[in-house]
Amino acid sequence: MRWASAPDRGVGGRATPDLRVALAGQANVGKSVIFNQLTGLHQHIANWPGTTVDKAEGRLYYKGLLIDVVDLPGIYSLTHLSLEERISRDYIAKEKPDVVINVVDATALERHLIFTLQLIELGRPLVLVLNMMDLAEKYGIEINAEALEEELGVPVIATIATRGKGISRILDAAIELSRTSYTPKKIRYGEEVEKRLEMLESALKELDLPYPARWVALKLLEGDEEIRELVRVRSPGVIELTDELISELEHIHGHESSIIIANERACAANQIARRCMKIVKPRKPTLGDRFDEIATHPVLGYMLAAVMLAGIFFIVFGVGGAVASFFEEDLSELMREAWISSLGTAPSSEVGWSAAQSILFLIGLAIPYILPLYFLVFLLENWGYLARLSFLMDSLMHKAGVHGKAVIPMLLGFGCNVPACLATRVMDTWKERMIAILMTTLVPCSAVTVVVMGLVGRYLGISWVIGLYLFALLMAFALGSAASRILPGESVELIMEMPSYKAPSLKTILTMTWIRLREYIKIAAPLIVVIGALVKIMEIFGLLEPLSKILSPLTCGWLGLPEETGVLLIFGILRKELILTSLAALLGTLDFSQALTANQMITFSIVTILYIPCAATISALLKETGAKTTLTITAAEIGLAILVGGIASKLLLLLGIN
Amino acid sequence: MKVLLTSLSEGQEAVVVEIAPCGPPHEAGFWGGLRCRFGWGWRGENRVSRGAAKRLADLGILPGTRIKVVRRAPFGGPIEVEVGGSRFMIGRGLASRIIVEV
Repeated sequence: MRWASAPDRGVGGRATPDLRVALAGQANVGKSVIFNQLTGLHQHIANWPGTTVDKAEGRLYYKGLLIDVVDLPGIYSLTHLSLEERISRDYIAKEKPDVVINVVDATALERHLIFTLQLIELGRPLVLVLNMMDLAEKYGIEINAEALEEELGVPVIATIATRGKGISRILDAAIELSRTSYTPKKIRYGEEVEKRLEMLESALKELDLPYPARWVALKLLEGDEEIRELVRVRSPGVIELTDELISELEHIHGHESSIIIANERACAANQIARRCMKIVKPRKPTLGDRFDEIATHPVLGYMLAAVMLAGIFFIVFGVGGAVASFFEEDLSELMREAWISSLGTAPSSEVGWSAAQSILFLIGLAIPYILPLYFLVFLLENWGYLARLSFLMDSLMHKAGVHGKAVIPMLLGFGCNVPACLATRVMDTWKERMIAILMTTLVPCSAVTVVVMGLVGRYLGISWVIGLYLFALLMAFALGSAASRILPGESVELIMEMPSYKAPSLKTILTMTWIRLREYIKIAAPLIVVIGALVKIMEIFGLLEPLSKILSPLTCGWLGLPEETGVLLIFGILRKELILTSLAALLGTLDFSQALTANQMITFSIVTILYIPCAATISALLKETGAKTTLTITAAEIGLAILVGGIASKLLLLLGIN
Repeated sequence: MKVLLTSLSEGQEAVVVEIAPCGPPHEAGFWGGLRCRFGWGWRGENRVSRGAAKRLADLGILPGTRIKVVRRAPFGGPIEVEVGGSRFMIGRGLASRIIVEV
């Protein structure tokens, strides 16, 4: 690399950048790979103000210039108003980055040009990056970059981002462009549309708008509601003119105006692509195509998916479990001894220890479980397999009112519900996101697995554990399905690109894993520490026993559990695997079969799986959905656990399991 | 001949004619069909179903586009199509609203 990364002053720090660039492009074009190549670890993920959409920013030094890079959300157009699209266009139009870098997939130039044309119309200086040139070559596609530069009036750079090729030339072009004056090239549309555009444009000239007039005129013809409102407050007359022009257009073409404009743009993109690109040989089935025959096969596909998932679980729980026991037992004991010898066992010291223990627990969860899980999931995503998994699972997920993309958060949920909640951001609509979040909080995470394995697995056998897992997933689907009926709004159907398989870029995967891991700890830590200290204080003041008594009609009466379990369930809010360790401490033995019957073990496990998201998950929910939804989900799950646990206990009795 | 995208077999090519606001009765279901035709149900429903047509347009799936069915997912899952060199999966419900000319 010819440039050095900036010293870690933090993004948006005091130093003002010499150049601000924004990366824009559709999903799966290698945009995040380019972003990571540019910024390395000097990046920072936050949310766009007032939203939960990721905002990735980074900073670098190149040829003596301090350059800030913002990665805009991966979107398909600037036309219809999903949150991500609004964010992107507002950023470009209002924050006015010095240069917009538009990354496109060279293997599908025509489709990507539709988006590029919209960006050019927004009027900021633009660099077009043709990424994945190696794949394009493999597919027999030849692109004449100079002709494309001529047609679009912007510099065009060919890159192979996964191998780091052409990255520095993007920066050179951006710097060059920022030093010259830039006038965007006018993209001409069909006669009828062009005539009306000009009429609108001249009517808009006097209005003081934050966007270029021609772009606003196009948006008005497309029926963009936000832009209509923007213009209406300034001049209602222009809106009247717009409606007149739209009805003329719709009369001529026989389609809705938004479709007419989309069509015009597609035609323009088609003509440009035809002049600048040729396919020298027909696309031969690649290795990826042949692999797809297996990966999406009605029988083999599901078998492959099962093998992959089993592999992930083996690595995460088999290898991770061993590492976790080091953190939980050896390291924790060492720390405890050190703590007592230096600070004693006074109440204040005990509360302090509980906080230290919480942090230790979090690290003990993050390193053995979350780290490999994130790594493997990002690996599969980067490679392109996750899209195939969504394809296979779509019809199943539809039963719960979400589409195939929800498989990814569900998968993460088995490790920990916190990353699962964060991963529901892949869902397209608010409704689907809520359903996916609800479902992931019911997926038994690694901590729950510890409890279920330690009780049911140890004394009743693995078949009961599998049964309980299937039961938990069934509950997740039942609740998801109920929510999809109750919540307002129609679910958007699955529309997703099927990406070509790519050799995964280790650097990108590692960076993403690290960034996400950091985010995880930042979200989970505060609430875990606070609740941990609270529970400790309650213990010191002897408040737990009375609480147990208050809960006893529920725990003893309805669920048929011993009274002490009330306390355990309170501990479990903090971290579910505490239920098991506290049970051992309470009984003074590790032989749980002395204290719990088979019936009680199963009932207790069911309640543990369902009853409440743990403290860390609650803080993730708070961050992602707000207080009201978090409370609703928490209350609903407590109710569900009590109801289902009680019924299960009585059913098991009827079946002769005491 | 005008047919639904869902009725094409793997490897078959066609030209998109239009994106209908609702699927056929057997795909939309009884309530889905009623809601779609009369705009019943929860807020925003009609707007969202128009949103799907726009989303397809963004991907270059428009009246007049050549579209090829690459494969169909098992158990009534999505349909994988090829348009202008790239591949997409489209949920079965939406695919059943895409009318094509064979």
